Amino acid sequence: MAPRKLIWLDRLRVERAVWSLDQQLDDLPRATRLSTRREVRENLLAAAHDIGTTAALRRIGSSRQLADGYLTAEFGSGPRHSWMAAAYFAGLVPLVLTAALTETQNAFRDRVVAENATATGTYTWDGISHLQRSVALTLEGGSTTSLTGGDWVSQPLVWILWIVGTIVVGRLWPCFPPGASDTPARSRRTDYRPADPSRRISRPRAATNAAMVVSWGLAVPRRAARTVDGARPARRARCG
Amino acid sequence: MPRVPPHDPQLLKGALSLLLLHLLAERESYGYELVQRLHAIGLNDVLEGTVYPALARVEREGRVSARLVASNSGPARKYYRPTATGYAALAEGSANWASFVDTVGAVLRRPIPAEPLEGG
Repeated sequence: MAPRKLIWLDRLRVERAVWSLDQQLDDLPRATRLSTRREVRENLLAAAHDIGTTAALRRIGSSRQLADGYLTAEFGSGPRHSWMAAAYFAGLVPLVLTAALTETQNAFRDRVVAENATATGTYTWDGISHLQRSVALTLEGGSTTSLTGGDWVSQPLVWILWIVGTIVVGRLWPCFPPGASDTPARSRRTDYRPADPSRRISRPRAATNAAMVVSWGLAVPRRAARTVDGARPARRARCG
Repeated sequence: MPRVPPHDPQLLKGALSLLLLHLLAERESYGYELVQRLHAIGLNDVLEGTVYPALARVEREGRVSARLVASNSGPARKYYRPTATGYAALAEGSANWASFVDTVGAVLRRPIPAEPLEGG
């Protein structure tokens, strides 16, 4: 069968699929991400020449599942780190905290004014313990002349929680030393055969999952994971 | 091409790496070509979206290496072939697979009585 001719619309659809996949591969190392994008584009174009663009796009499935497949291939199954999640948390927490603490400042001012509508002088409030600096409110005839303090920037606990929260939300702990770059991905555990495979089979999950049993067929002893000249294959960092 | 009934996706998933290694040991191929070769042997239900990440995984595990080859119809194609580790994994995987099939087959070939024997 002669290869189909692709028009610009076909190429646009392929590019859209590749772009959509790429958006979900943020956590891959840059070189792997570029290579994946190039390879998927090339394969999609070859398939589109062969069976048509619509069929090629249908057969490759959803970009979400495909991205998940690539991320699992790189980092192994199970929970994995996400720079995007960490970035969202790191970016949003200061905004939310600032907004919330500004509201507490306003509430303090409103309370003072509600008690005395013509209040004059300086009023202070310690603020929320460990989260907020003390608030100083100066009023003149019930009108605010200055409202200072109340921020979180000088509170060490907030910084600690912010940093720890970012690491926890993004599951970033495998990305930091010691040994961040030479920690094998979880999938690499399949490289190591269990000392006694029958013990593994006796586990309920393994017993009910024929695929796991079959996939052992590809298990290689650790010492075999070397090239012919005895060198180990280069390891990649676990984090992108 | 013989029409083959749909396969158990879990079984296919488990055997896919072994199949990929074997096909690549026969002939260096790029992603879509491998999919076509899988279809040609009757595995029509294996989709591209399964094969490409599986290829990425075996490459990540050092079982295949890749090289870019210029293509007439578009960008350069990434051709894969097994590494020494891949050949070792293929040999061992094939032996394990044969042993697994023998074990399961031996049970499945036994005649089934009309009623299960009573226990106890």
